[in-house]
Formats: sequence, structure tokens, C-alpha cells
Amino acid sequence: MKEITCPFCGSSNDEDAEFCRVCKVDFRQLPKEIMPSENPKPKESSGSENDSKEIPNWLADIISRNRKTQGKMAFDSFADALMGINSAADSGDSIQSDSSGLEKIKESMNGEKKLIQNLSDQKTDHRNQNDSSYSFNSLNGKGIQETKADDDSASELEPGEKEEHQLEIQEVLSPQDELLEDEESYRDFSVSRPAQKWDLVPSVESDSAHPTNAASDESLRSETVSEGKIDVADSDVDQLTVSGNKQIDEDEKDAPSGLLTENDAPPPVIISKSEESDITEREDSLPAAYEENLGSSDENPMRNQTSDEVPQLNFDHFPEDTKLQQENPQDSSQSITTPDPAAIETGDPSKKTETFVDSTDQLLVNDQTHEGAAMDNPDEQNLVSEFLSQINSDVPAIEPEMIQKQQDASEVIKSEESENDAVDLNEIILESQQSGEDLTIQSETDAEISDIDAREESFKSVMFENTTEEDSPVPEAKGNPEKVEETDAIPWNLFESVDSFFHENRKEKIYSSFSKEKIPSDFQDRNYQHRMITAVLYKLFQTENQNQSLKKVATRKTNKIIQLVFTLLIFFGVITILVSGVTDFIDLNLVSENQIPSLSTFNYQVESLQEGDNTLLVIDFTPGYINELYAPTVKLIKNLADRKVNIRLATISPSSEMISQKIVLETPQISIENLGFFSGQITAIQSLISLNSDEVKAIFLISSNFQTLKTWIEQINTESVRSSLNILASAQMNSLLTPYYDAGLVESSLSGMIEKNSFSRDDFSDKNMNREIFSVWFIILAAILIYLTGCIDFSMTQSTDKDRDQTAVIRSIESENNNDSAGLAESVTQKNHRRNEARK
Amino acid sequence: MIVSTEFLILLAGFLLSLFTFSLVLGDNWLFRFAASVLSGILSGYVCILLIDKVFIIRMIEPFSDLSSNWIEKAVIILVILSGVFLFLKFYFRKNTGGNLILAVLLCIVAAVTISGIANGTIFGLYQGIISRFQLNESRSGVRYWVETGIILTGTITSLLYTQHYWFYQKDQTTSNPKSGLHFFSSIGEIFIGIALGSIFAGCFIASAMILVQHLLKIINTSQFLLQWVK
Repeated sequence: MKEITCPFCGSSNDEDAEFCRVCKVDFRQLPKEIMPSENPKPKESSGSENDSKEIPNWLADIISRNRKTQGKMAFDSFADALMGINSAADSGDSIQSDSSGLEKIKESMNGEKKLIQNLSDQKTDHRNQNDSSYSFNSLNGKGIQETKADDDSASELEPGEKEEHQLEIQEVLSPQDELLEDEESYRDFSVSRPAQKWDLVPSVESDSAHPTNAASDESLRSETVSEGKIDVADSDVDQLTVSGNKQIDEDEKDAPSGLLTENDAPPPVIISKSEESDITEREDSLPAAYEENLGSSDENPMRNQTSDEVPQLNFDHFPEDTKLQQENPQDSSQSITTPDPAAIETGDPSKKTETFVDSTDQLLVNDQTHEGAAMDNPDEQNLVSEFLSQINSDVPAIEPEMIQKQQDASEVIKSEESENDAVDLNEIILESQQSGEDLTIQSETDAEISDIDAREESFKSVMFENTTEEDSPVPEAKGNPEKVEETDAIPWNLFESVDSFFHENRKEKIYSSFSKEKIPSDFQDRNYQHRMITAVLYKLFQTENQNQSLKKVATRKTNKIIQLVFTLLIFFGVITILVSGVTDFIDLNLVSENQIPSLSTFNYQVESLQEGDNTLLVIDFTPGYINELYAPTVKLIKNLADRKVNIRLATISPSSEMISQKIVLETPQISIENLGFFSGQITAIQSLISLNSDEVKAIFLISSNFQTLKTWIEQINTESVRSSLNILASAQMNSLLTPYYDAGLVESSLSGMIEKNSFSRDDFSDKNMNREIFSVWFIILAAILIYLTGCIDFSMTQSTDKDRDQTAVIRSIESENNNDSAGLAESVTQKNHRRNEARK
Repeated sequence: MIVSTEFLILLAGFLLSLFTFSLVLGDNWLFRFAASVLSGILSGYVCILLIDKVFIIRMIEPFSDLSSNWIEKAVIILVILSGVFLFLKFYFRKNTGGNLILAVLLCIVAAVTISGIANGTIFGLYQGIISRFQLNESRSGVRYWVETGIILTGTITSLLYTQHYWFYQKDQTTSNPKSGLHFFSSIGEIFIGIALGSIFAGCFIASAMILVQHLLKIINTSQFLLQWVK
């Protein structure tokens, strides 16, 4: 069945799927442009191109190689792979599920068997022979170093079988990919190795310095594998098993292929691509099979393992499922049989299947050196195990104490097994070879094997003592429908496990453990991406809130009550002054013109006009300003009429035309020539100027719009006009006209409230007019008071409903920050503990 | 009781004013009604004005006037044709002739505007600042020179604040805060703040005056209506 890639989360879904299994997006509602594609385009090329522009070529090569090996690292695919969400694809360029770990394990076990056999005969010191040493720490994310065998078996390999498989989840699985030595060191096995390392920590110290010994043991081990291989009954079921076979084919003893001499390094095990694809098809059946074998014990870390991860885990707990079998040595290949899960369930050995594995090139064996190094680095182990445990479940990371216990146990085991290095290697092999029905190992080292079995059991018992339900990092099985939501759960503790602090001895917490319970219920919907985004945002706000409180201060800008108080104060204050006349006792005296220079100048311009002179009055204010400018305009007209000056009215604004008509209607005794409305704005100004420039001696602009007023000033100064320009404007343009007045572009300007009142009124005896002035002053004082009160912090006062809602959210975040992080971790631990109990 | 036209108009104006002030309580249908009435009345008035003061006077009457020369009539015909082309362009998406007319109009307007800005504002204001330094009997005294200095300082620092003189290099992002130019730029910021504050104060005062006058008018009208009801 073909698979399609979700355009939002990048997860793979069936072609017939209507909803994305991860982000629950409805494919049917998507437009065609973003419909999920069956063959997703590789995104590496564009990124690599961009990177190549900025980074050196040598670094770009490394990055490109890493991308080939590491593949897609999107979080969703990452989580899907870890949580066992099947993202398997067909062969070719589709997404390949990671089952390479299973092959690796089997190969390593195969190699270990050979090493055990060789060690029993010869014990030589071959540290770091060939190119590198082998490692068997794939389960804990360590890099597996492969070496190229330099033995005869490798030379007899067919070229077509020399194919290496990738351990990481690849977006594009090219059959021609060859794993280079350098690429191995850059692999990120944390993606493909979610299982605990301690599952594979051997109780013996394998002699990594004696890889050939290990290889010899392996070869000796393989010699014990009988030729009684299980017939392949079901060709479409290929699962890897490592089983021990005690019977040795005499012919195989002398066979150079598959057997390692003392001087040969254990060859690596390589699984062909076809085999790997076959293996991936049957991954789903593995968890069920393994669960059957494990029983219902929660302590079994394999219980909740997903199908992707099961093949990668240690098969120590499934002795009946493992079998190592070797085929015709002339073919220089080894067959690794994997039991049919149905066979496991029914105990029918007839359905065993096998896959041919090319083990001539590389062989993964347990690298005791590497394990020892890992054991010597408990911190690294702890971090990795913590990380993996968090990924696989909601349980926080394994406590350092527990990890330390595990280390102690491993160290104890290590001390116990330190006597015989070869025997220690056998533990890991034997752990996976406990298949009672099919295991027919006949070898000269049966006694050793029995000892190894005993030690293995002791090792297992010790290891299981150290594990608890809470520390079980294994995620839930994929096949369990009840746990579908759990597998889809967001790894809340993915990014942190303990409180982190700033550096430099600062005690401030960067962030603390963040659990799913902290998310409000409204956001806990099934939309995966929505939950993720919400979680990230909450974390961000939580982090920011620690540094600076996000709570808004209830100042005058936010406090509705105070705003209402000020509004009512101003409103009723003005009404009180206007109606009651409380300010009537205050007498306002007329201001002399000497005290107002602008008024005197304006009056001077009016008085300079002689009888018979023509003046042009441009009305440029809207009816909204009629109360402010109408009276001064009428006063001006009357003054001009008294001097017997010819008055011409004109306007360029449609709304001002009604004011001109009003003036004409209300002053019939005055002969006013109304030129009317001139359309065109700037062109109208030009036309007016050109028509009246020769005849008009003074131009009076009465305006409330600064733009048109500025245009008038500019156009008049452009033309060679001899007329004086005088302006009667609204109070808001007082500051704007000052530069023009100072520059001499305007002869006079009258815009202030007092100036206009002084111009239009003979005195201040009118009480109603005085009330208006006092009301305006009251509003100004109130505005100053409001501004000053805005500087006062009103956070102690009651907040409004809107602020309450925000405060509640902020308080919840603050309360979370104030809680002890350890307590939070414990609560999460308890919660998971209860959950595990419920599973039982 | 005689209900005159003026009373009805007064009553309508009073009600519309109350509807407009209802915006204090928030957006509501009363305010929307008043705003729609205002916009409708203004639009109708403008249409009538254009027809009465522009089309009839500027276009129709010259045709009907026999004394006018043919040049004026030809110009009017060209103007009518231009109007038709513009109408076709904007309403029927026909670019025939409309683009040319628009180009001519825009070029003329732009040229006139730029010339007015250059001569009226830029050159005029700069000339006024420079003239302050011309020695004159009327231009003397400490206060005069202090004002001149303040004007000059404000002009220069405001230009520094707006960073018109800086030519950004490719890798240069912001200026060094510790440089001397940054100090003068801060002073320019103060001047600009004062100028904008004065503009705001003027707008505030004008608005306060309008508010007070309208409140007074409403109060007087309400008193009149109460007396009329009685």
C-alpha cells in the first residue's frame, strides 16, 4: 500500500487515510496545492544548497553525509519513530523504518559467538586491530563502529551482498548507499535506539583488545551452530532472531566463511536491503509476540515497546525467539532465523523463517571496550537513558540514584565476570539465544554456555531489581488500541528533566519540568500540533514570567474604573460650569493688543487697507469649526466693510461653500462678491491667484485645515503676488504657523483662543462666553490631572473583568513557577506510577 | 402650538447631536444612524454643489453663451471628452485615452505641488532662518539671538535625529550610542517632541472648545425644548 506524507507534520499515512494519524488534519479538506504527496520531495537539496553558500565545502560535505545517514529529523517523525507509530514504507525511496538495529544485534551476537569460540582456543591481544573496534552499544545510542574485515571470508563475498544498512530513519533509502567509516561516527543512534542500554550491558568484560579472540569465539560459537536450520516456511515473514545452535557442522568448521580465525577480525554483519524491507513488513507482529513471551509483567521493558523498537532491543529476554544459524559456508553467508510470531504463540517450529545475512563484510560484536567506556562514563549513560526514557513515556528521566544503582549492578556484574572475558561476551549472546525449542547448540563449550546462562540469569535478576515501573522507559505498544492517545501524547518532558539554572552562580531557574497537567483543559484537544504549539507558548511565557512579570499594571490606561471616573468628572464638571455658572464671579478683563503681538499685527494689516481696495477672503473651514471661526470671520468682514474695502469670497472646499453662503445671507448689508466654489484644489488656487493677483491687495485665509492652508501659502509665494497674506486659523495650527510667520511668508496670523475672542469681542462682559472659556480651561486642567494620575501605579486596586481573566492565567503560571520543581517531578512520577498500575 | 421648520430642524439637530454623543457608551446603532445621515447629507450637498457651481457654470453656460469665442468652447469640449475617457477608465476599465489624461493631470499637479513646496516651504523657511542672522536694527538684543540660537540648534539636531545625513553602509546597522552625533540626535529628539506636543496641545484645545460649544448648544436646545413642552 502506498503511503502519503502529511504536509503539516510530515508523518506518513496510508494512501486511503482520511485523517493524519499524528496531527489529525483532514486530508479531504486540503486544497490540491498542499495535498499530501506520495513521494515527498527531499528537502535536503535546497538546504544543502543554501548551506553551501555560507559554510566551507568540507563542512558542507560532512553535513550532506550526515543528512544522508540521519535522514529526516522532524520532531513528529522523530516522536513517531520512537513511540512506535508505524511509519514504514515500501522499498525504494519511501521512508524506511528502522529495523537495522535488529540485524545489528543479531550480527553482533553472531560475532560474539565467534569470538567466544576463538577465545577458548587462543587468547591473544588484538586491541584495535584493523581499522577500528566493534561496539555493541547501539541500543543506548552509541555509535557502532564497523570495520572492514580483512579475512578470507570477506574476500569471498559476492559484490552484491556487500551492502550496508543504515541504522537511522532514512527519508530516502538508496540501495547504493555505502556507509563510510566517517559516517559512522556521525550517526545519531538516539533515534533508533530508544531502549535502555542496561539491557545490553554485558556482565562480562569483553576483550575489546582482543577482537580476534572475540571473533574467534564467535567463530567457535558459530561452529556450534548446527546445520539443522529451520526451514523457511513463510517467505514473507522475515524476522531477525539470534539463536544458538549447539550443533556444529563439521564441514562448517573448516569453512573459512563465517568463521574467524584467531588472526581475523570478526566480520561485520550486513543485511541486504531486500531483507530489511521484508523485515520491516513484519514489525507489527513482533511486539505481540514478545509480549506473549514476556507475560504481563510490567517490569519487562519490552512490554510497551513499539514495533519499531522491538527489533532493536536486546533479545535476551526472548531466548526462544533467537537462533543463530549458519548456512553453507561456501556461500560465506550466515542465516539468521527469526521466529514467526505466530509460531511463537503456537509453539510451532515449522513456521520459522530465516533471512540470509551477509556477515562477511562486517560484524557487530559486543565491544567491551566501548561498554567499559560507557560504564566508565555514567553521566553520559544517565543522560542518554534519561533522554530515551522521557521520549518513550511521560515518566521523567530516570533518577540519578536509579541510574547509579544500575551502574552499581552493572559494575557488580562486571566484577563477577571479569575472570573470563570470553565468557562475558557469551552472556549477551545467550540472552538472545534462549529459545528452548529451537536452540540446539552443540559445541565444545557447552559447559561454558551453561555457566554463561547462569550468569545471565543472575545478571537479569540484578538488572530487573533496579528497574521499576516508574523508570520503565518503554513506551506503550503500538498494537494496543487503548494506548493510541498515549503514543500520540506530547513528550512534555522531552526538553528538560530537571530544573536548569543560569550559569555564573545565578540561582534563577531557566525552566522547570513542564508536565501536561499544566496545560489548561481547553487546550488539551486532540490536535497534536495545537497542543505542541500551546505547550511551547506556555513554556515561553512561563520562562518569561520568571524574569519579568507578565501581569499588566492597572494604570489609567487599563483600569476601567478610573477611566470612567475621569470621564464623569470632566463631563459633569463642564455641565456644571455651563449651567450653574459657578465661575461667573470671576471677571475677565479685555486684554490689550500690546500684550498679544499677533493680534496687533493682524489688526494692523486690516487697518492698512484703504477704501476701494480689493481683498480676497478664502473660506476654508468646515461647519465643525463654525463656533470657533465664524464669529471672527464675521467680525473681520464687518471691519473691512467699515473701511469700505471690496470683499470677495472664495472657497476650494465643498463644505466651506455653505459657510460662504451663510455669511452672505447673514450680512445682506455688506456687499460681498461670492466667487463660489473652485474645484481642483491646487489648480483652483492657481486660478484664483492668477485671476486676482493684480487686483487684490490683501488675502485673508480663514482655515481649519493645515494642509490646504500650507498649500495656499506655498502657491502664493510661488507666484509673484504683491498681496499681503493674513491668516485666521483654528487653535490647533498655532504652532504650525509660527515658522511661516517668522520666515516672513505670512504677514499676520491669528489662531489662539484668547486672540480670536479678543478680536471678535469688544469685551468679556458676556457671561455665557466666559463660561465657555472657563469650561475649556477646566478640561485642560483635568487632562493634566489625568496625565499625572497615570503615573501612579494602580496595581493594588481592583482590576476589571478583563484583567481578572488575564490575572488568573498569570497567577496560575506564577504559582507553577513558585512550586518546587522536584515536587513537580514527583507528582509526574506518581501520576505515571498510578498509570502503570492501572495498566496492570 | 406651531411647529415651525426651524423648530423641527432644531429638534433634529438636537437628536442627532445626542446620537453622536452616544458613542461614549460604545458603538451603537444611534451613532451609526447619525453618521450615515451626516455622510448622506454631505454627499448630496456636494453633488448639488458640483452640478450648480461647476457643471452648469463652467461647462453648460459657456456653450449657451454666444459671445464666448470658439477657443473657450474647444477647451470645454476637450474637458468634456477627458471626463468621458476618465469615466470609461474607472467604471468600464477601458484605458483608451484615460491613461493619457491621468498622466497629464498627475504631471501638472505634481509639478505645481513640488514647485510650491520648494519655493514656499523649503526655500522660504531656510531663507527665514538665514535672514535672522542678518544684522538689523530691529533684530538685536539678547533675546533675539537666544531665539535664533535655539531655532538653529533645533533645526540641526532635528535633522540629526532623522538621520538624513547618514549614508548606511552595507554592514552598518545602527549608530554608536556613545558618539557625539548620538548626543545631538537626542537633543533633536527633544525638539521634535516639543513640536509634536505643541501640535497635540493645539488640537486638544480646539477639540475642547468644540466640545464645550456643542455641549452648550445642546443644553440651550434642551432648555428650549423643555420650555416648548411645557
